[in-house]
Amino acid sequence: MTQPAPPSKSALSLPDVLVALGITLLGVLMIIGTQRINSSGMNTIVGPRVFPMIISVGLTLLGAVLTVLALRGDRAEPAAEEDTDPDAPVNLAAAGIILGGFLVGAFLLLPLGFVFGTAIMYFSVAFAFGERRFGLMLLVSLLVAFVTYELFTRGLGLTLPPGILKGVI
Amino acid sequence: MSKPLITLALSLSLLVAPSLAAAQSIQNLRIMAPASPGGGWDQTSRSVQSALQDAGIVKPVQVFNVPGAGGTIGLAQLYNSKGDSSLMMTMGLVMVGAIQTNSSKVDLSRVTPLARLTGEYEVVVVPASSPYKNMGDLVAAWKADPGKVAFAGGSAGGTDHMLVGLMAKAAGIDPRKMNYVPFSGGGETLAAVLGNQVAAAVAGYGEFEAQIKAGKLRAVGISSAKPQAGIDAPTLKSQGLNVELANWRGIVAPPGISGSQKAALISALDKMHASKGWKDTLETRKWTDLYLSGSKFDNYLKLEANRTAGILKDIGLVK
Amino acid sequence: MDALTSLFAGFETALTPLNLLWALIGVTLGTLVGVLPGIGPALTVALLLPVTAKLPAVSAFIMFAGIYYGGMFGGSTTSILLNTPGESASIITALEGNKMARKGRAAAALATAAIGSFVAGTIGTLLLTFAAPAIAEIAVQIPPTAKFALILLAFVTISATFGGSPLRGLISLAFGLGIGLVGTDLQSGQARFTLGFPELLDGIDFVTVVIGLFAIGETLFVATRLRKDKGNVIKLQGNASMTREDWRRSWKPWLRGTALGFPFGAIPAGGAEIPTFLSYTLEKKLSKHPEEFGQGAIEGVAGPEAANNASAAGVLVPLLTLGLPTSATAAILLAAFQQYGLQPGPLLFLTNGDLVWGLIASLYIGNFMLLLLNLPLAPVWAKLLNIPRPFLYAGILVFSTVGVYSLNNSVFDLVLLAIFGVIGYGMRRFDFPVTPAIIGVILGPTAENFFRTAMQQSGGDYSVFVTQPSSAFILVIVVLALVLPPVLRARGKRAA
Repeated sequence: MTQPAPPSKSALSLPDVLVALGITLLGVLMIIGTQRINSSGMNTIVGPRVFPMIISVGLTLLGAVLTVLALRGDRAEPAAEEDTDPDAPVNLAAAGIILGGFLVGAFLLLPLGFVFGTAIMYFSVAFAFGERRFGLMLLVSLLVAFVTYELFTRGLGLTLPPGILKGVI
Repeated sequence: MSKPLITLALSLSLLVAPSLAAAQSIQNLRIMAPASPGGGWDQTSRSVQSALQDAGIVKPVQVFNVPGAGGTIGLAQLYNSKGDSSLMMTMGLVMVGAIQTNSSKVDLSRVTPLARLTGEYEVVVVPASSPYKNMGDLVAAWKADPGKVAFAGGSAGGTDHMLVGLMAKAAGIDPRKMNYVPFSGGGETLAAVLGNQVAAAVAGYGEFEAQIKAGKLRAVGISSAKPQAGIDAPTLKSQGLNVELANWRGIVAPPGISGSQKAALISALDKMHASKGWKDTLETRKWTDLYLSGSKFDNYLKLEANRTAGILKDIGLVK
Repeated sequence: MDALTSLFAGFETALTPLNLLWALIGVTLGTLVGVLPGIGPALTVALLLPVTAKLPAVSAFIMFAGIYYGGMFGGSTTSILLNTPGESASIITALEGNKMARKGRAAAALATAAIGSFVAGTIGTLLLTFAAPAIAEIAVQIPPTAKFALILLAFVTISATFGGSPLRGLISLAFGLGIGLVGTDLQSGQARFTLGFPELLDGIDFVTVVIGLFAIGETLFVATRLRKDKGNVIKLQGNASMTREDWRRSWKPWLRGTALGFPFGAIPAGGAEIPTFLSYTLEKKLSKHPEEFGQGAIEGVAGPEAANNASAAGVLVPLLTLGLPTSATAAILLAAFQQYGLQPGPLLFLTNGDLVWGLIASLYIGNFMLLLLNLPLAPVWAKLLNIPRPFLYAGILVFSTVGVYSLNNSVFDLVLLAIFGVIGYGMRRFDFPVTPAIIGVILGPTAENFFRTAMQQSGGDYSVFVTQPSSAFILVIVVLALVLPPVLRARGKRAA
């Protein structure tokens, strides 16, 4: 790994502070949630609240330590993966396209059917990864979705929603 | 004058008759198993499916799974399919309990009961080396110190738990004081009692059958009203515990179907119950025939719902 | 040599052309569904149950045995190639295996997984053949205190293994433990952290968490920081599978993995996860190249894969001898026995000896078939990585969707998947290791149950953890694992 820049300790990193605060907040919310668990009237020697309490207090404390460190200037370095370029500008839109396509596909899974729902997902990922041969993308996404559908419903007897193709496939 | 009228009436009846018959015969029946493939409700659904198809009563029948939350997710979905007369759902005592423990918004009074199909009785077992020779010994020790005698069984609020609660009540023990150790799978309950880690264990007879026959476990009581053929266990009733419980499975339809649609579904199930294919299935799977349909089942369902709600409160599981 | 005679009779049953065909169908089907994330052998056997109702029992079980082992072989393939572990037992395989694949060594990783699975499966089946009743007797005696201590050991060794930044590792673990709490409490029947969603009453399936954090999280992360300069595909290092060096580094992990995996499979609720985790830590400790761990160390694939398969063989011990299912797949196999009116247990060997021994014989045959099937396939599978990035990542997402959707046939799970995907992205962005969270999700609920069961059985006596010899012994190891490394480090510093 040729990564010359050591993590800078001077400037405060706002995202890091927010994440640390978020974890602490999650811990606090879990403590409140623990209080809301019905204590059981049964003869349970260790009740249903004991482990949730240990874990939520633990998470709160760990979050607090992380917050202190972040306020002192600690910052996390994004993971280095084989396919990623640490120096490339971060393209959050790509993640948004994938996520949006996924959710749209998921909600259309029942009305439109499995084939079109997953084809939307496939198409949006390929688009987000920079593919622009639209004809090919359309063909492959429909083909993958169709073959998967046939494989699972006929081969394994799973029930996947047919949607508008009901009766056709 | 009368002639054309008669012809008209005749031709009308001819027109109507087949359409009436079509309304009676069920087409494209779908059975929802409110559990994952492989579980009890799934097996029941698929057995009903093949019995209905093989005897030519209904064709085709499709089974699909809607697992989750003790079947209450499937129940909610059934409730939303109001008026669909080609849909049925398998269910059972476990769902009656889950409705209480999960505070489900839909309960069984909101759907159309069809029939009780099969069931399995519960047995109480102790390890072969246990000092408790019979139910009397076990109850005596239990009364002396309810917290000391640990019973193993399935998850909290399930059939096994209910039986131990009913037994405690019958023996005059506060069900809240009993020591019940829940395990997630039948295998773990078996392991706990084989390993002498608990005083006794409760489960459906099938789960313990092999170990009872091999002499590693002793069945000290069965939850049926009368002794069962081929099962070497005295009833709880004959040993002074007035408790009867069957882990039954039945079948219901969505709400809002007409009386004749309900009758058609019940008549299909009646025919299935009489078919040879169904009898063979009961035989190989060792399911006890508990068939009960129509208004008898409607009443039974109400009684079971009340009893279940009562015992879950007594145990302290539901407020 | 009673077992030997029976085994030969079993081979006679299993080696008929028709039963061989069923075994072949089983292993092929098992490998295929194992490859798909989320769809494991348990679901496949369950779905096939009605179809096989008309087959003779022996043939059906021979096929099921093939699916069972085949699923284990196939599960490693997606982990290694696509970083999408479908079963909890192949999570660890993904850690090193996927790193190897990304360096162009996919074929070697697949080969060591396949051969390790074969070695472990065969040794496991041998133990099943000759020592099953004795092992089963011991396995049921293990008290919940000892099982709790074992999980504690797994937590301690794992947090030491993934301790790049201990604080971030612990936060990840606590997060996973918290997710594991969601759902109805088994012991008291009370709902915990379900936020009023009935869909959450059964808890969050680990498949959703694993696929969300691993596959979806990675897809999102890579999409935002795509490397554009370099070619769009991973270069495979020829067709070379395992080098002599790979063999030298693999055979000991295979054997150690087997030794860890088999007993855990036989213990009720032991599972395949703890031994794969322990095997990974053990190999890292013993390796001469600990620095390679996390970068694609072959030992980290060989050991856990062997542990995984050995535990699959171990699971059959209590199932056949006691009728005691110790895993989800075993529970489905038990249902399959019941479909034929058979009750596994001590009497099954007497009443249906030909079936049991035919089944055991077919395990040897199936294992061998799987090796023959998987070794030549390894380079072929590896070519999957030649698919251009946009199409490969899109395909991973679609397969993940099928797997998660088919868990409960519910769109709700897909929304959960998306949420865990975003969390997985955030964990990569802010340098939180993903594995401790997964381990928390899987082992947290088990640990809690063992602890509370132990307390319930002892009537609230906390001293049982130290008075029971087996748990006391493991707790001593836990303490040593906590205390020794810092002490040794201190002494090392003084010496230097």
